[in-house]
Amino acid sequence: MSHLSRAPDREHTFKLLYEAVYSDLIRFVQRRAHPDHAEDVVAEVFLVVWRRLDDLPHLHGDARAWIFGIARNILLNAQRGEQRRQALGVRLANAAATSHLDAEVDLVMQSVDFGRAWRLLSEVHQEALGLAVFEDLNAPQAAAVLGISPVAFRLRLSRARRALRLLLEHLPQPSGMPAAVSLGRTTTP
Amino acid sequence: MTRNQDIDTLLRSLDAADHQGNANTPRARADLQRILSSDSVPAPRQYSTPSTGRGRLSGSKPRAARRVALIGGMVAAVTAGLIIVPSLSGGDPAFASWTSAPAGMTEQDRAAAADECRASNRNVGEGMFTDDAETSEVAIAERRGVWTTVILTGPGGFSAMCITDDSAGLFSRAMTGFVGKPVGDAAPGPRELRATALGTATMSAGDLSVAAGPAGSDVVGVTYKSRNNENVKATVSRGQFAFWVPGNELKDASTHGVEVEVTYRDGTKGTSILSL
Repeated sequence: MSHLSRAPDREHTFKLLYEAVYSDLIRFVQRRAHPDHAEDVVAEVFLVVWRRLDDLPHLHGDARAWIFGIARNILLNAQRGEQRRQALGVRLANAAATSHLDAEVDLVMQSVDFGRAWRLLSEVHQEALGLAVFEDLNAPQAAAVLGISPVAFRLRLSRARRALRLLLEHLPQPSGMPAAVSLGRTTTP
Repeated sequence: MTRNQDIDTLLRSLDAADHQGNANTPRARADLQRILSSDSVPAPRQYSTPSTGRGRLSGSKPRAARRVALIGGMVAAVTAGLIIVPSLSGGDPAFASWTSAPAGMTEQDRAAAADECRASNRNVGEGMFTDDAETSEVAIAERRGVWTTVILTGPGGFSAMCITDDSAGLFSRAMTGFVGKPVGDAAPGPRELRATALGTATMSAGDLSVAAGPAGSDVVGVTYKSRNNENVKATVSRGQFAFWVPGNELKDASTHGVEVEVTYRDGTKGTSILSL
């Protein structure tokens, strides 16, 4: 874990941070919101970061998690007043559209099943798995994003993995439907 | 396919992110310049007062006139109402910076926030609380992210509350709060809380739920378990308590009541139901 450069100049510090985190942040948002809005959300997040730069954690990994937490709050709060949500679901790509798997039908079918199971998983569990797998955050960092304790996060992640495994093992198969047709019907929200 | 490693591998293969975005795209560079050209620290506080035209931000659009309104349960407890200065743009959208635990303020910031709160109450109710506000003292001054909360108190149970977005200096500053005096005897017992403000207000950033009022002399802490399961810590200071949360979860609290955990001076804890 590297230490974030603490230049004496706020602007310089912010530019370094912007360069370092932008790619990860836009991916974080793309996974959880409509891709068309991702750049707008990222700009909004960085504006908050700019104004709260004094609160920036010193360690790069912690700073990255802190920024994800701000993004999460912005995305969650956008729902307030309409449908209150406690977690941000994570979108997956369309299994049928992932070209690198096209040649291997078994893998494609695994992906299709996985996509179906994922959509049955609660947003709370999607969120825990997403932070651990996609954002590659350790438990304290992911816990900071969610505003819970590391112990609570580890428990949540464990439950999420168990829930996903159960879904995968007990997923109802489309009856009388050949694999190719099943694959063609796959969609992702 | 049940091992964690297999699940993680397959999950990564279905990543919805496009991996193309970076800080060097024209859009990202333009956003960076726009952010850097904005103020990174709160600008001097100024308010629009339509009667005098004082306080309009240079170069900004004229702010909408202050609306005086009675909203939610706050009406029952105080004789005046709730002030709202809507933010036109900028600021802290959707309360993104809000924190469940309050932070303190420097003496200088407390004084500035108190002056601003007094000024904002000057014309409320045709100026009926101007004198009370001018002689009031700061009971609470706290920050939650970029949001500042001030409670002023004075003789006769006078109290005024101002919740202000400190980050909206570029365009306009959003504020909400209340001012007034209790209808009846509002002095709580040593281990009691008495809400004088309890309800929901709406700002451009969204709804927010507020609870505030006098606290007994033995009360040293108040915690509210929010709908998001967060422990929201109130500030308790100089015989007052105050907390607020984004959202409208306290919209019915004035009639149905809301439970809070109270910590007493002797270290014991109890619960209290806030209502009006």
